[in-house]
Amino acid sequence: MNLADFAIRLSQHRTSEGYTFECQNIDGEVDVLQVEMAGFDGFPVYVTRTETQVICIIYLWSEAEIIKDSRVEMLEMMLDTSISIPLSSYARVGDRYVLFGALSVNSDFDKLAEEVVILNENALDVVAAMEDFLL
Amino acid sequence: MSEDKKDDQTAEKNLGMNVLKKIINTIRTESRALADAVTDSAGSRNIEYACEEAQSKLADAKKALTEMMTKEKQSANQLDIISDKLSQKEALVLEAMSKGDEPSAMAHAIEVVDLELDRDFLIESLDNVKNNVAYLQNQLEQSERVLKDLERQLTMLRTTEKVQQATETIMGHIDGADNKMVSAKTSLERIREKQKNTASGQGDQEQLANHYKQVRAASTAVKSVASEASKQHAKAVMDRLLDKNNSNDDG
Repeated sequence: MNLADFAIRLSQHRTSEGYTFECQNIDGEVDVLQVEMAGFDGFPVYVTRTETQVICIIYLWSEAEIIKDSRVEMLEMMLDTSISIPLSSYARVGDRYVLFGALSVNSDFDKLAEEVVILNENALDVVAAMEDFLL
Repeated sequence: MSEDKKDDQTAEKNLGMNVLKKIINTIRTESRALADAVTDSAGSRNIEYACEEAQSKLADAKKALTEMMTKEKQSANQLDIISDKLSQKEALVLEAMSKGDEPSAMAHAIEVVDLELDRDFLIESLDNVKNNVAYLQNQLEQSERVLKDLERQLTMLRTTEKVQQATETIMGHIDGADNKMVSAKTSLERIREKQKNTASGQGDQEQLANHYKQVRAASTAVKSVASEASKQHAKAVMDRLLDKNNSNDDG
């Protein structure tokens, strides 16, 4: 499924929990879709696609937002907790920490929609759990 | 497997392993243009080239395997035919001997010797073909492994590049919209505030619902009282009319 088709289907979709989605294409060198969940106070999810994967990313915080003395402890905490977070993992892109989920390009629509929801829920938990390390 | 081929595969494997090392090195040197540094390097072109080469080797190996498998079947068929012929000739030798026809038995026995030679040759050649098939199947699996590994390495490169580009696009979009990315903590506080408002809103709604409940109950009670009063009035009207009617009848 390409990103344009995914955006159309997601815009019309309503999950069993009653969430709906607002999609916005972002023009640039690569196709990126910004997805926000209506009815859920969270973060925008950015979806992009490679030849083999669909990658959903939430930007959490930047290096500048970390309390300097807590940085190592925060990184250790992230490593310790990463495996416990369902379907999502931490990463850093440039100076930004992200939470992401990667799916095969052959994944069906329901799996992609599930990823967007769970990533948003995970991100909220992560930021709440890590706020002591942030300015 | 020849030494050359072993060396090729080791080189291809090392080439693959170097991609992650290259990414790590690039990150360590704090290069901003990570994707460019990784993907424009000769390394990635080498991987693409190695990938194409592995695909071509795989196609050759598949072709050779198909030919060898056909040969295996043909040899097995020939062996069956020769074995049948051999059984027939052996039967003829026995038959001639039982009739005491030694020259005929000798002639058949010579044919048996020739057929046995052919059979032994075919058995040997079939063994060779079988060995070749097994070798080619093994080669095919090895090539598949190398190819899969190279493809995985390429995926790693391209994903690094794509994510970098996507991030640049997203950051450009956020800055371009004059809508700077708010800090995680500010976002969290905003979300909490919103959730608090929603919760208090829900409290308000409950209060409002209770109020309406009371109003409705009061209104029902009033209606009920009112309806009782109007019933009494109606009864009075009925009584009055009945009395009036009765007095008219009497009159």
